[in-house]
Amino acid sequence: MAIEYKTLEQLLEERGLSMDALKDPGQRFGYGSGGEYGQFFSPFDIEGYQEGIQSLKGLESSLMGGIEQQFGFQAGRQRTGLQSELQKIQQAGKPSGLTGGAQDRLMSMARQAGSESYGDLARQTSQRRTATQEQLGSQYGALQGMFTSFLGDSTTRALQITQADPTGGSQEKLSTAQDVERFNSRLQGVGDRASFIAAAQSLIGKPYQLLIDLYGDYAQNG
Amino acid sequence: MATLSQILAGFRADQQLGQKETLGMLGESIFESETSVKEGSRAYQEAADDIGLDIQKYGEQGAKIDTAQKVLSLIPGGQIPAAILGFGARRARKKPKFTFDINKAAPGFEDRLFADQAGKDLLSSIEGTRDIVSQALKGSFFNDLVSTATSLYGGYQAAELAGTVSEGTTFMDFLRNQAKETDNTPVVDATRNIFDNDSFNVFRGNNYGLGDRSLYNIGVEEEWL
Repeated sequence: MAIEYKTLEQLLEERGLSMDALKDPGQRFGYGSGGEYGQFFSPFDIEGYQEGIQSLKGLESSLMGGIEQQFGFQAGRQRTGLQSELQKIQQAGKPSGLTGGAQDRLMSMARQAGSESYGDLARQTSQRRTATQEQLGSQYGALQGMFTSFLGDSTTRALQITQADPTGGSQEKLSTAQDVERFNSRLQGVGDRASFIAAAQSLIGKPYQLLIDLYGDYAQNG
Repeated sequence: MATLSQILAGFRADQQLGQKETLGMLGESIFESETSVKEGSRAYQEAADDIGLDIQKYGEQGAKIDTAQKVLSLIPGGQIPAAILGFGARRARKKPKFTFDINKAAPGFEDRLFADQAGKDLLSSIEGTRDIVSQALKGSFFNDLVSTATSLYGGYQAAELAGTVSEGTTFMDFLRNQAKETDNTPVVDATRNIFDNDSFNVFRGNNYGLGDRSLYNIGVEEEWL
């Protein structure tokens, strides 16, 4: 039985995944290549895989073709040999005259020997065919194993990232209107508050530390 | 032409190398994140210790000013200048300020990719310390005024006790420097000339409900009791 090759798309579909799982493996876990965690995933070498498959198919074709060719050649030789044998028996009976019964027996024996020989050849060829397919199948299995292992490694990697408590990437805290209000409520003087609000408004959307520093100045002078 | 085994081995090696490289990068990034949080925590701890010492020093300076103001208040007519001086000295103290910038203390802290909760905890501690310091110094102008007045009143009580103002002198009289001064000769001793005999005896005689336990009764002869 020949190797049943499946495309990457088919293999992925069986797992409910798309090609993205290979091109951007972190994406399905929320760590896509667009973010800062995408760097912790390496994409699947699709080209390398397909090269391996093509190479495997080529080898299969070559090996199986060789076996069939050899079988055809050997079977042909056996056929030729048998025909030659049968001719010899027929010629041997013509001048001196082998009795019809003896000639028939010889020809029957020759045909039986030829048949057995062909059977042996067919059996050997079948065994070689099976052995070769097994060998090629194991290579294909190794390729598929690398594909499966890649998917598993991606899941492990996502788990490692999650366990390390990701922050979500660079997230310098920026001042918000609520921050301004919160700091403002801590100030005592009404004049201070009005002045602080005016100065702090311009810091909304800017680094939080700037607002802290501004508040520090007001608190110091309060 | 490469054999299938070569192709497969090369493919496998490339995949593994890619995995190992990204694993290494991940490990490095986790390590950097954790180091950044540790560095920030250490620097924060130092800053918190420093601000604690500064606040303590600030309080001690206030207490010294209180004492000096009370002592100056004992000098007849010195209460208002003492209060002004005390208030000025209080305002002149350098107010402790908690100026901790995590980005300077631990460069890369804000950009770290991992140790999210640990970082949040640290930021929360920093905010908490900032709030505590802010609360401790909140309304310092008002506090300084109250403290000055309290010291003034403390000076009035001390003067009353010391007998440098006569009975019937109110706190307002004391402030207006209209105390009815006594003509008692102050006792010259370790009390720095501020106690007079009568008021000391009154103080000792009052006993303040301490009975025989009063330290002032130690070594005092029977007729005193």
